[in-house]
Amino acid sequence: MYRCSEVVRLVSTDEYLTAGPLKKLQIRLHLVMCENCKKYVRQLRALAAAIRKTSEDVSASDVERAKSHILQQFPKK
Amino acid sequence: MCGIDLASYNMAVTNFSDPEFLERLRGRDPAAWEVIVDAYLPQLLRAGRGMGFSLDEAQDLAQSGFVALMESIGRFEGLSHIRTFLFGIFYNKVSEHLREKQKIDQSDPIDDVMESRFDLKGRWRQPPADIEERVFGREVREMVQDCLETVPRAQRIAFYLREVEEMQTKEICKKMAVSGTNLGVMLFRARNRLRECLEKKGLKKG
Repeated sequence: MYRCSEVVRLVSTDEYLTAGPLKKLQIRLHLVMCENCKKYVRQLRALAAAIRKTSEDVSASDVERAKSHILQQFPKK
Repeated sequence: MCGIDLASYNMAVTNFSDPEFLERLRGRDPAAWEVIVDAYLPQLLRAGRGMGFSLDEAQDLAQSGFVALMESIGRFEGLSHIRTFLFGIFYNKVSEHLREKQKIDQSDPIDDVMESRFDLKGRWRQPPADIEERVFGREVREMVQDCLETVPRAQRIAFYLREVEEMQTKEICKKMAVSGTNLGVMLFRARNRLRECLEKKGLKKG
């Protein structure tokens, strides 16, 4: 049986993803029984989703400004 | 017809794998290049900002991609390669930044924070606290943004490539020139640093 600290490490380093089936099963079992680790994993997921949302934000005016700068810098024929 | 309309008109009628369009790019036709910039600049800027670069830095990174593309457009046979090439150059520039500015530290304060959360038997001594839902929501994205600022750049790039670009770990290792173990360490530190920060900011009351 994995300890909480080990589960947290395996999940947050992504080592979990490459673990064998037995190891994965043990981690899952731990998560079924441990409320704290379950909460931790849920929070990491919510965090990732929040990051995906925030990185959508580059305003149209910023894009326009960068565009005109870049077009000016293009080497001419 | 104003400039923006012209660009979207161009976009609409341009078949991206049309040899004629490639020919225009090779001939450095400004209108054709504008189509390319319109198509890919927003994505490049978003990626740069997401990895913690300033808008100016992100713009420079994108620009070096476009210039390199222009210099080697003669070798291209189809537009499907252009995106790959552009992002390839972009990430190369990003990792050049890394080599200059940051290497992976042996120790990091977040490691101690994480250690202090568990007892000697590896059980939670200080379990994760409830974080208010709204912290993860769109309306308080400054909170997430503030927390991101506390993450060292290398960790932030690793985290971004994994969570936003959803790259495979192998690919990230290659792009960032780090070992799998080191990438794991970077992801561990980035995720836990962010979680700790949001926990502090978004503690559920009561």
